[in-house]
Amino acid sequence: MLAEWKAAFNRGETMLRFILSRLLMALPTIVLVSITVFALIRFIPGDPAALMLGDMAQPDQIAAMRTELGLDKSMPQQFVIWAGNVLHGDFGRSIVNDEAVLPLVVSRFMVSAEIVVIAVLLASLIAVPAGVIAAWRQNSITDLALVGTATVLLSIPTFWLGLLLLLLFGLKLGWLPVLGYVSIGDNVVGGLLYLVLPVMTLVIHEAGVLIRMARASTLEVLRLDYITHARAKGLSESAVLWRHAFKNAFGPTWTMIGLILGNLLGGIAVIETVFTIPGLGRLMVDSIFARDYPVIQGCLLFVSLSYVLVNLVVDLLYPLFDPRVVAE
Amino acid sequence: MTKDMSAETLLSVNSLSLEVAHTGLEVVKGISFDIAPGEIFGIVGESGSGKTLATRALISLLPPAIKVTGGSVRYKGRDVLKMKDRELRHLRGGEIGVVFQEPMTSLNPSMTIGRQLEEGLVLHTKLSPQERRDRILDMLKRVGIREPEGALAAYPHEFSGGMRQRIMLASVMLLKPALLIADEPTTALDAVIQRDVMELMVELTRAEGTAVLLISHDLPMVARYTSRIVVMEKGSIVEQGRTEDLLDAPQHDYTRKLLSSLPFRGEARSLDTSKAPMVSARNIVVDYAGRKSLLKKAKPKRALHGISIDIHEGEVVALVGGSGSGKTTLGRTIAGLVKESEGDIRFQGRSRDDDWRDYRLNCQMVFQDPYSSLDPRMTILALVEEALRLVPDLDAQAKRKRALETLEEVGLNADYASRYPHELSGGQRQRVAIARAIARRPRFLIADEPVSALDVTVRAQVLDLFSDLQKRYGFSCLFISHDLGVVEQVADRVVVMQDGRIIEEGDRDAIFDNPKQAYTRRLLSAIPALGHNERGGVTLKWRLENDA
Amino acid sequence: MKKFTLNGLIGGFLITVLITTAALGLFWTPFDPMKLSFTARLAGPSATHLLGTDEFGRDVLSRLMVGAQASVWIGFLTVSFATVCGTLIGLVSGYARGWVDGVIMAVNNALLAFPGILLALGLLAVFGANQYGIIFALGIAYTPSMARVVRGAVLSLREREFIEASRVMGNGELFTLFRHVLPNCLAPITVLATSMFGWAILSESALSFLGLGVPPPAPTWGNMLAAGRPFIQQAVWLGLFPGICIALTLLGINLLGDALRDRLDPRMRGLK
Repeated sequence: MLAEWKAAFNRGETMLRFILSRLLMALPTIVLVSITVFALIRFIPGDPAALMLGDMAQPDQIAAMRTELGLDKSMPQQFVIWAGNVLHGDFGRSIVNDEAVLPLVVSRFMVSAEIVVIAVLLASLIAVPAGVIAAWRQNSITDLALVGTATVLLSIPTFWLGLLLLLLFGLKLGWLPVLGYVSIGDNVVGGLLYLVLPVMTLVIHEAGVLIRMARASTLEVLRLDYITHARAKGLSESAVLWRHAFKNAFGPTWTMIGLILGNLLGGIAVIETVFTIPGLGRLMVDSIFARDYPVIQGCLLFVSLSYVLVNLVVDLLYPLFDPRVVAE
Repeated sequence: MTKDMSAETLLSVNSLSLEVAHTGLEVVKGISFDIAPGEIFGIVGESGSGKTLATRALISLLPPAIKVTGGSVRYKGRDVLKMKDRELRHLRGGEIGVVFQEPMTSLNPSMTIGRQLEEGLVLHTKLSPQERRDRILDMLKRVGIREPEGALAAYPHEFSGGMRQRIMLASVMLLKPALLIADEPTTALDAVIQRDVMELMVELTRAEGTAVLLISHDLPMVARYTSRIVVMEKGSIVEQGRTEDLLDAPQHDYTRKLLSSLPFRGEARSLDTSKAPMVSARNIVVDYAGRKSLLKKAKPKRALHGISIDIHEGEVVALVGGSGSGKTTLGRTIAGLVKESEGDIRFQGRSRDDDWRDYRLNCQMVFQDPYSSLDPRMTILALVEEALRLVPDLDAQAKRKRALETLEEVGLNADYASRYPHELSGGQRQRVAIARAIARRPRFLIADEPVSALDVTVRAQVLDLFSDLQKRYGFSCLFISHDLGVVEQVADRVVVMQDGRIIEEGDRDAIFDNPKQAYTRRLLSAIPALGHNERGGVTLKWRLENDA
Repeated sequence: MKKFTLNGLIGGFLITVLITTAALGLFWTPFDPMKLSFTARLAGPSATHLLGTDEFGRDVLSRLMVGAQASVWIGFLTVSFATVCGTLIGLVSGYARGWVDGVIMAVNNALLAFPGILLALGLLAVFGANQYGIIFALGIAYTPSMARVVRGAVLSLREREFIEASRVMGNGELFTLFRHVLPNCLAPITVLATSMFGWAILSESALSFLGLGVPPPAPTWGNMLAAGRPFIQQAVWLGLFPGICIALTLLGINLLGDALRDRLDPRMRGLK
């Protein structure tokens, strides 16, 4: 019994070290991402103070903004001032309507996140088992059909797929609403109805990606010795597949799910455009049109930091599927 | 069907044939053999002999691409190849256990040892959880796991290769099978550990009355433990019989070839060592920086603790030791691939660091893995010619001529010049690697395990080639190997390393016949002393049986 | 084995059709893709206009052919940019190791921390939304992926004994890098560059669809879809054909990529 306690303690310690090291490793990335976002806006030709205020700004406003941004100081000092503001939650104000950027970005982010999280969850639930089965039946008709379908699905651009679904279910059949958006918070049934098409579009596309990923990583695992050994022990095929192969094969797919989730959080501008959803991607695009630089900056920073965060969480949960990563 | 199906036969294989489904290539050609209960039975063959596939067929666990085209496998009279799934699953594990070659990949990395061991018991026995736990702990103790309770909750990556192979053995023997199939069970292990694991296996199976089917390329090892042997070549059994008879008077040419390929002791040469050494290393210390981690301080790991070694003109010095002994690091340090932290390396009396160009021209290296040491995108000729690129006083034409000559010398004619490495066999590739190393006519050659990746018969040919070239050109050589048999054949002097230190050195005969250190004796106990007889057979004498 | 060649065959065919169409469009199109015709507005597919006309009466087929040029051209330049820059960065990083590698990879990872098309969007805000803005934005956004793959290949090659053999022969670092390391990196570079070509075409059409890409009236598949969107109920073909072009192109690239990976990835060898 004592030995088990001791082993458990040691394992706890290495786990703690693993968590801390991953957290520490994320820090430089966060700093560099912030510097990149800061630098990107500084690269735009013209006076940053004027950019931040738009075309309608008065000279005295610009002068005030110059001092606020610390433009008379060196670049590193300017970055420190900016980063300090950001840490206090001050992302600046929109040029277009003078709204504070952070609350605007957060509220739009929630809209996108709702769609993306549901879609990725559904896509994983469908695609991962399908991929595992395709791998198990490698080169059979089932496998060929699944891989073929997946390849076709992932080749269809989401905005076009969305358009087609809209045309079919919204305009031709009239089953689902076409334009606009209702928050689930305000109206559960109505909100869900508006979610169906965008979620369906994303699920169809991402399922294609995930089926292939799950199949490839399962194939890798299925040819390893311990699978043969499990069979040689007398285990049934389903025990071999789900108990031995699945958990080990899920690691790479799990990372992929994290990447997809993060990618979509920043990249569903096209979907939001097709279905006129007021999400973060649409905000970003509109701001680029309007040259609303404070909002662009805020979106970039917020999304890239949440992407880092999502991947960090994915990393931290990885030992559930492969305990070896803890020991490095 | 005339075979005697009495209780004396546990497993009976009858004209079993296998082929690759798509190509129709026959990989096993009508083999037959019987195994009696409790017997230890051996199959010996080189790679490509079909031995592994043949044994997979015994539990009907062939890769999907391989099809049975004829014959039968009878276990206690029942035909395995015609069994239903349920019956097969009972057979696998419950009646016939399998231990694979590669302990590092044979255990599921994401499942605790306890659960993996329990799985088989749940499947094949009706024991209660407490009984299962007791039985597992008892078995883990028997295979030599120090803290069995702690091991239950541990994952495979927390154990070394040797320990994992013991755990594998435990997981199979837990179920008390009637037959254990062991496919190269110790090939992936360090020489010193190999014997421990084999002895453990024999002890456990003897106690349970389990028969063993031992499959290996290593004829002496199989001969040591088995009562009967089958020799396979290219899918066919060429000879089978009692182990002693087979060794003493082999009937088939291939068996004779296998036996004559076993390394033997060459004649002792008397070399003039009074002159200053060709290569002289003094007090070499090598520290590896510890693995960088954000929270752990990187502790440098000392790989070599002040090693001194001399190699005289024309001398072959063998560097032996288990894995982690530092022998490869020393070789790579002398070659200049690893930077020494302290110490001095002299070549022909001058410091190596004073004239790197001269040293590079005169010191060459042959690597272990012929699959990785040749650039896959270059032709054989280009590979050898590249070695001459920096040689002064040779024009392009002379270089090409020299390269072709050298290839000829290692037994590869001009037809091979335009081929790529992947078109060559392992032995041929190693010949190319040797040609590349000697094309410059170096004074000193470092050979790092040059034959350990090769099959037995190929190994013998490459060793012969190496000896011929060494005699012809008289280069000095540092020959690194874990295989003492090979060392016995080629070395003039032997240096034994353990944990980054030299623990014993001396003339070959002195070390082999009269080792002083226990570690050296342990190393030697893994290989037999060979005597050849006039029937083409051999006598095996295991050294120092009692010391190890 | 049969399946792999089938992939390559279909993929190769689709890509050949794409490139041929783009090349043909340079010399000949059924109609002038820019010519407005108010008499033939929103005309359905017919013998004259095989794929119909758009809201200004322009011939859809002709515009799709010219749009193919934009896709191929932007894809080609983006991939070339990312491949050249990424390969150099990856080679230097992987071969130098030490602090050089540390710094390069930290910056690289920071750039990779921008999800998908977002970095390109941010860069477009800097460069401005036009054809060359897109090429630079996407090129820079893809460079870190290439750098990471090349660095990984270099790091694993470094462990191979033939690199050490080259050093033992006395070859200089640069010679070894270009004679032994780079040629052996070509397989993963080719595989990734193929996928990137697909990403670039997809991203270009997505950006053009959003109105941030090539500005009208120059036709691209993306801005044709965007322009046709309000009319899809009356004129389905406006929403259908550009999308089919994009999808078939991506399918071709994905299939070709699979075939290449199967052939070039050493891990897949011996699996047949």
